[in-house]
Order: sequence, then structure tokens, then C-alpha cells
Amino acid sequence: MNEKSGINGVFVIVLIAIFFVAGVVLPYGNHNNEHMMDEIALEDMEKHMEIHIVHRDSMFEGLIDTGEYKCCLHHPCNTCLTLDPYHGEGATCTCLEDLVNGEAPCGECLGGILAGRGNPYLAQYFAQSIADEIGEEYIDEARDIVSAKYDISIEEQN
Amino acid sequence: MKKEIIILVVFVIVAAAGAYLISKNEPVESSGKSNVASMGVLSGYEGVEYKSPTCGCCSGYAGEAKELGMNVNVIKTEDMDAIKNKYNIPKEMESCHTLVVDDYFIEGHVPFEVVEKLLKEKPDIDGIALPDMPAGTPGMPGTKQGPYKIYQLIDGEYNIFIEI
Repeated sequence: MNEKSGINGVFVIVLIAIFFVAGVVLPYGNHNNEHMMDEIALEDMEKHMEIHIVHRDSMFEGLIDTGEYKCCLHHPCNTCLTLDPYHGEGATCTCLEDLVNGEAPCGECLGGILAGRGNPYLAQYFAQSIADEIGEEYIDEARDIVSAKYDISIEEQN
Repeated sequence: MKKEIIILVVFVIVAAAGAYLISKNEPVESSGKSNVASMGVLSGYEGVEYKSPTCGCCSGYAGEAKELGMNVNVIKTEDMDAIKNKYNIPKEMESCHTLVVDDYFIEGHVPFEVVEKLLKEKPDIDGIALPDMPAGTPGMPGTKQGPYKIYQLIDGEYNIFIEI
């Protein structure tokens, strides 16, 4: 009798442990978005895009207002909103921090910087962060590119 | 023996719960702020910060000004060029945001001890500027990499106000 109630006790405690772990872990997993997809037909891409943009801008506004989305492009890229963890956890973005610390930001930021879409007030940090990604041996080439794109001399760059 | 197993399971649950709660309450990593102005030194001042809607570090600067007691009204605008033109801020003095307090403009991430000095001494100038976005300044991540040169401006002309 005592042995049986002991086993039941262990069973209950293990069950509580499983529920606890599930409660902590599951919220960080993939959300089931089937119900969202049901609301609009797959072929209605304009509607999809409209919803995506409204949702994206709403996320941007909230995260930027609290200083949790610090991109290094003039107009922030979307990459860190959806990749987790990447340069930031959740939907946050730490690319600006990576950049000023001499580290490479996300791929979209790197591409944007090379295309001349980086925040011009951060130009002194660009070459070093590009070299962090592609190799320190290319620092001179990176400085030349940044100089050409952002009206900054080689000497002014890190 | 079974009692020991129960104790062990309870211990694991309590440890897991503790670890979760501790990680949840971890303080947010410092942005490397260089602000040495003390709490409340900007109390009573009304400021207006003009910033682009997409600028994250500008929100950080306004937030730190608020922490020091300033009442900051943040105005988001896509046309920051109009603000720079209005206050006659030359291109080489520009930064991402412009704060206006007591008829002075404060361009960029100027450390708050310098803002405090400006507002106390009330020099006959239009404003002060810390060009670009130097690492380690209020609202900016990273650490200070060299002295900050803060300029004073009169009618678009500028010279050093202070170097810290």
C-alpha cells in the first residue's frame, strides 16, 4: 500500500515537472499559424503583403521606441525581426552594437552598407566590420569602398 | 529509497524554477553609456527631440534624458533635413537627432554633463553638437574610443565648446 502511494507520488511529481518544462519551453518554440493562413487565400499575395507590412511596422515601432532595435542602415532592415537568435534575441536587433565594437552586423546590413544604404553617421565603423566578416586582409579595400560611398576619408575611418 | 527519489525530483523542479526566474530577471546589458550626470540634474527642463521614426539610438538618448529628469517630447519626422536647416546646423556637425532645450539645440549624442554645463552657463550661442554617432555616448552602444569633441555653433559657424 505504502509502496503504491509512493509510486503515485513520484508519478504526480514527474507530471508536474513535465508541465513546468512545457510551460517554459513551448512559448519559445514555433507558433502554429495555420489559423492565420486560413484567413487569406494563398494566391492573394497582395493581402499577405499588406498584413506583413502592417505587422512589420508595428513591430518596428514598438522595438525602436524602446531602443531594442538598433540597426546600422539608414532605413532599418528586417532581418533581425525574423531570425532568432541572430544579431539579437527575439525580434530585437544588436547590429549597431556589433558594428561599433568592430564586429560584423547581419548579412542584410553588410549588403546595405556596401550598397551605400548604411547610416552615414556611422561611416567610420563600416570598413572594420566588413573586414571582420570577409577577412582583415581586405581592410584597405573595405576602406576604399566606404570612402567612395560615404564621403569619408580613409584617415577618418577605424 | 523512494523518499529519496521524491526529494531528488522536487529538488530538480525547484532548481529549474529558480534558474528560470533568475534568467528572466537578468538586467539588460548596459549600452555603454558615458553619462556621468547625476539623477535629477535635468529636472524642470522641457526638451523636444526630433528624430527619424526608424532611429533606435535616438530613442535611447531621449530615454536617458528622461532618466535624468528632463521632460522630453519626442517628435518623429521623416524630414530631418528640415530640422538641420531650421537650426542652421552644417553637414559636418550633423548627427541622427536634434534635441531643443531652452532655445538651444543639442545635436547628436552629447553627454549629459555637457548639456548640464550648457544649460547652467547659458552662453550666447545657438547650440552645441557632437557630430556623427560616437560609440559609448548616451544612447549609443560600445565603449569610448577617444575624446569626444563637442562644438559650439553660432550662425552655422563652429569651434570647440569642450573636449571630454
